[in-house]
Amino acid sequence: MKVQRGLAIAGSPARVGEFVELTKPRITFMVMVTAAAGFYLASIGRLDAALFLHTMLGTGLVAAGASCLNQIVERETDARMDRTRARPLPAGRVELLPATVFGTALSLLGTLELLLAVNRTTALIGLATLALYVALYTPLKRLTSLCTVVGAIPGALPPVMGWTGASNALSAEAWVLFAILFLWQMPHFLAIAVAYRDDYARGGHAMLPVVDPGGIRTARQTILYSAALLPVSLLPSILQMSGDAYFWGALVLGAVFVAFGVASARDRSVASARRLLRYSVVYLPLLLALMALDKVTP
Amino acid sequence: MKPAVFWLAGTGFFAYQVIVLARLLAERGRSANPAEEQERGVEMVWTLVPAALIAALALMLSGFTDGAWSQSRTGDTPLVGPRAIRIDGP
Repeated sequence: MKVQRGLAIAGSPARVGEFVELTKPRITFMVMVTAAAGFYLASIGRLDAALFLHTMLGTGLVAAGASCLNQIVERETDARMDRTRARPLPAGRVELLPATVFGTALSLLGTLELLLAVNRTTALIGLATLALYVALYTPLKRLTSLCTVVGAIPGALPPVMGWTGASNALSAEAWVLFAILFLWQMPHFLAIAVAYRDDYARGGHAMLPVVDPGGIRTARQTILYSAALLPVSLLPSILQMSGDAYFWGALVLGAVFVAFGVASARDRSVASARRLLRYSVVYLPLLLALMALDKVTP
Repeated sequence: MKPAVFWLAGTGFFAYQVIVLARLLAERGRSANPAEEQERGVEMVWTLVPAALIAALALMLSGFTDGAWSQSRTGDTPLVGPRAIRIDGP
């Protein structure tokens, strides 16, 4: 009965937006962009449009389902945070049961889509992404700052899914994309956590800037991961996935990233964290676009 | 030129990491606060993760894992490129 009511609510045009919000559409879109980059880079010769669409659809559905399930698990802490209390679940605009049905259905559909229309490898990686994000990262957020490190694993898997979607092979190049995404997320999420430090503390999240009020540990790690990203971001050119234009572009983009990281670490202010955050958001699409535009075709 | 720039960037990262690790080790045991000591241990893990990731990548790129993975998973030849690992069919 409740499920029927939930589905009826979901079907109402006025309520569709609430369910779309449960999928964190901007994050889901970014996940699909990174998966698309992985697919394109792994494609040899002409891009298989049908396979590409299936990979994007499956990846998008899994990402949307994971976001929805994450919001279900975090609904109580979300209600305590300014940044998240207006989300559909803590605000009471969507009930728990329909949200659970919706999130589970999206996750299952996505996994099935990947399994039946793409390949088993990509479906397994999708499932691992879902499990790591919902069952490990989300509960760890209350326990240790290492949650960010754990959460960066599912965050870095979409380009690998794109790669395996096209090639059905887990090659070293796929793991290079994984490493770039993994390392990029750390300064990105540390900057978010600095900007919303008080909010995360209210929510009971043990993010590094929350457990490190002086900011020295956050500063050190921001520089460390930005510095690690620079050489790793050059690897696609060293491995001849991309050409010289990518190499020099990635070098400039990465050097600027390190500069923003150092500035944020020295300043330790919310303003400098926001500058780093804004740059990190620009950095990733530019890097992926460069990689794709300067792709070396085998 | 490109390899030199790459190694320079890599050396910069490792140098900074060694400095952070040395600092953390030097500070170990100085605080009477167990929570602070615990956080130092956690930061040690934070600090070692990128090096572990890069070391794993280096092993993969050197071809160390290719034979072992291919043999243990399928006994098959790679699908794409010299470092690819085939896991299953569509």
